Amino acid sequence: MEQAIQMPAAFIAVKKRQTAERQIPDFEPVATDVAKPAPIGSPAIEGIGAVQVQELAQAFQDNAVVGIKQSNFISATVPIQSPVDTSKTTRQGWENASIGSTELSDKTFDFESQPSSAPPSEARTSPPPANADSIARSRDNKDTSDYQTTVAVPSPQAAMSLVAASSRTASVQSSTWQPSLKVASVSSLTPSMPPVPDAYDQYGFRKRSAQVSEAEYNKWYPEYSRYQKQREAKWLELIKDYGLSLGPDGVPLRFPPRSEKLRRYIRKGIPPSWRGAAWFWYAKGPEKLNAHPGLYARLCEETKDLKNNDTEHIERDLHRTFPDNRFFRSAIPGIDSEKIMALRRVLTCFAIYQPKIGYCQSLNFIGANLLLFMDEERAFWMMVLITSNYLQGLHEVDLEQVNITQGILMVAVRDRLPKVWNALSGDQQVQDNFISQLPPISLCTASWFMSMFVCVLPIETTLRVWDVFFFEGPKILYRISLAIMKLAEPQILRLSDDMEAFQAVQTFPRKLLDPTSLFYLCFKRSNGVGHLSDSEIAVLHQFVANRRREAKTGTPKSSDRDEYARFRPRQRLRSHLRLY
Amino acid sequence: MNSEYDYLFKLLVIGDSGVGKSCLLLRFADNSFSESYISTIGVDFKIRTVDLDSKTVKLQIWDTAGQERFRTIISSYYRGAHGIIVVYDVTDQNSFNDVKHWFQEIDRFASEGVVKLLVGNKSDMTDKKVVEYNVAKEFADSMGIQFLETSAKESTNVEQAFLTMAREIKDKMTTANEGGEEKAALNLKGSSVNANSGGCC
Repeated sequence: MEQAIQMPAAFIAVKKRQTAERQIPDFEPVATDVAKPAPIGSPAIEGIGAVQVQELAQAFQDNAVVGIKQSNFISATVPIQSPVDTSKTTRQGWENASIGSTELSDKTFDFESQPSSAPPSEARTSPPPANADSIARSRDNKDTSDYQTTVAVPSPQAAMSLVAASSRTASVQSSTWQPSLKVASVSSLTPSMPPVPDAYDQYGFRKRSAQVSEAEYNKWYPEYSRYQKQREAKWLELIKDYGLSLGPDGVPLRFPPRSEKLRRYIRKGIPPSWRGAAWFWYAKGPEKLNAHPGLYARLCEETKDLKNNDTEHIERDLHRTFPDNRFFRSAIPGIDSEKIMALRRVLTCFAIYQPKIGYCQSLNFIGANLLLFMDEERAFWMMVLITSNYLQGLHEVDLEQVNITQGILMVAVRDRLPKVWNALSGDQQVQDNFISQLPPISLCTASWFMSMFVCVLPIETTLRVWDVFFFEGPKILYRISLAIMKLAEPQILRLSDDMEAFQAVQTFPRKLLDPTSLFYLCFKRSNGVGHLSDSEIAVLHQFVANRRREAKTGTPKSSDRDEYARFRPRQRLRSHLRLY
Repeated sequence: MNSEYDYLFKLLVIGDSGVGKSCLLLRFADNSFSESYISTIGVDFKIRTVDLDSKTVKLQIWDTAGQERFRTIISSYYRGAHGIIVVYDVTDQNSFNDVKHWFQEIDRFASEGVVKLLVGNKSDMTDKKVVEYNVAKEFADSMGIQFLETSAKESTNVEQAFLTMAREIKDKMTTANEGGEEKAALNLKGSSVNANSGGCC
């Protein structure tokens, strides 16, 4: 006991992380480099009831679920919280989560595929006594059975539901937007839908791309689909654990409060049909939407006949966004699809609402990707949130923030992937002033950030990045960039010409059909390349921004390389201290 | 010196958004055309090696984003270019009006002696054509640069456009080499070209 008392604080902190299902702080848009203590909250599932879910399992069997381990359901005891408590707890959890601002050490998190990392909190130990009331509710809960149907849907049918969503909206011929409470969802299955053509995936994209053949896709998908179904089952349990209910479309109305467990779940992928709602929830979309009722509708009305430089650019890009997606392509030549019309409105309203940004190419990709998972009002608010909380200033007219993010990335590549850096940064001159005059490769990686990997990575991999992005913040963009370069390293090093190396960097991510290896490399505990924290990014941001400003306004006393050599040990020490 | 090629030229393709820069490049580098192409964000790099007067010339081509705000981040890389192709859309008057602006950008940021070429793309869309060949030709002549109308879709003049540019650079370089030492800076041969000697201005 005495030993335990004398244990260093850091060790105790690690112990606590391992044993408690701790809440983690909210993603902070403005990162600080000062480490504040993270709130160590108790799990937000106090006073929960429990319900046996044999019925649930039966329902799954009835639906002929393929590829889901029945044992997950038959023996599981899922605690259900009464709805009254639900809102209270969730709200509380949400607020608690907002208090903290510290980045937890990434070293404490692991990819669950590593056996040693499985935390005890995942094991179900002595659930609280069953609450008869909640059992009854659960039995009668139509939502639950709806969800079961959703989970049981094999992917082609999930895609059918997208057709359903699309065709429902397609009946509205006018170009004006009708407010709708319903979130466009991958899950709402309508049996009468035509079968999905084999050439397209569940999100409506053509399986075949310039870098991936249809055969490769078909080889990869079945196994990944099984993985997705397993994750969906896990998520369903998680939602039940928190006593959260599902809406009529099988999508949770609320999501669990932030915790390490949830972070692990999110890093392994949010169920496709829940993505839109989950992204919206964790980006604090509901707060934004509720604070501005009707604003989007008014903007749509006001901008209906707007013609300016921004709308001109928007028009040019509408059909150059998702040309290979069947929901965006015109069914009748010359007549815009419903999604294209929605994208036009979202981008136009956004340009008016955020005049400092207006329309910036790459926002088309972000907007279009959002529209695959949510209605346009929510997509609009998500764009506002992304550009104000996550990627502040990135799309503004001077694009200086783009240069700064790329400066940070170049520093990270230089530190962590020296061989890749040497291959990509070319000659001495480039290396001397690699921050004020960024290496050409940054023109390629800039697009990774600006479009948040949409049309850079294959769709499923992109979506996995987005899952993490909205929960953990923009550092995932740096981490994934580093992981891509690490994976591409052997190929880059084989090439003698730096231009060929650029091309390799440019092409490589487009082949990463399966997110697994990329995410493993990004998040694995040891030798992961992506361990870049918010606070490190914040410190680097300051350094890079200052350096660039100095270079612009006067003659720098020394090269970027020398300046960074002086700066780096201090930064290293800082990030080291942050861990304790 | 790399033995795979005799010359290495860096070319930039610039011009308004949507004029078909990427399609031109796709046609030249991969000899394909796709109606379903996406907007270019930042820069796309492409490489093609061609034979010119029994010399192997490796072309590094930078396909750039057209929107104004990208000009600032891309223009600082103009300096390392040996040739810059300005593209407009023959069916879009504005894109032709902006050509003047693009040439100003070149004068501001590119190296002296950079080879320029004007290209009017989408020449297959004859019924929608608004920029007449003569008007553009006159403009190009007044600037002392070559001009071509192309169609990436029908593969008209695309090869010629890039080869015209490559030949001009090569000729310029050969003359420069013969011209004496003070022009040695224009020796563009080899991979160690000062691709990024430009400042941050």
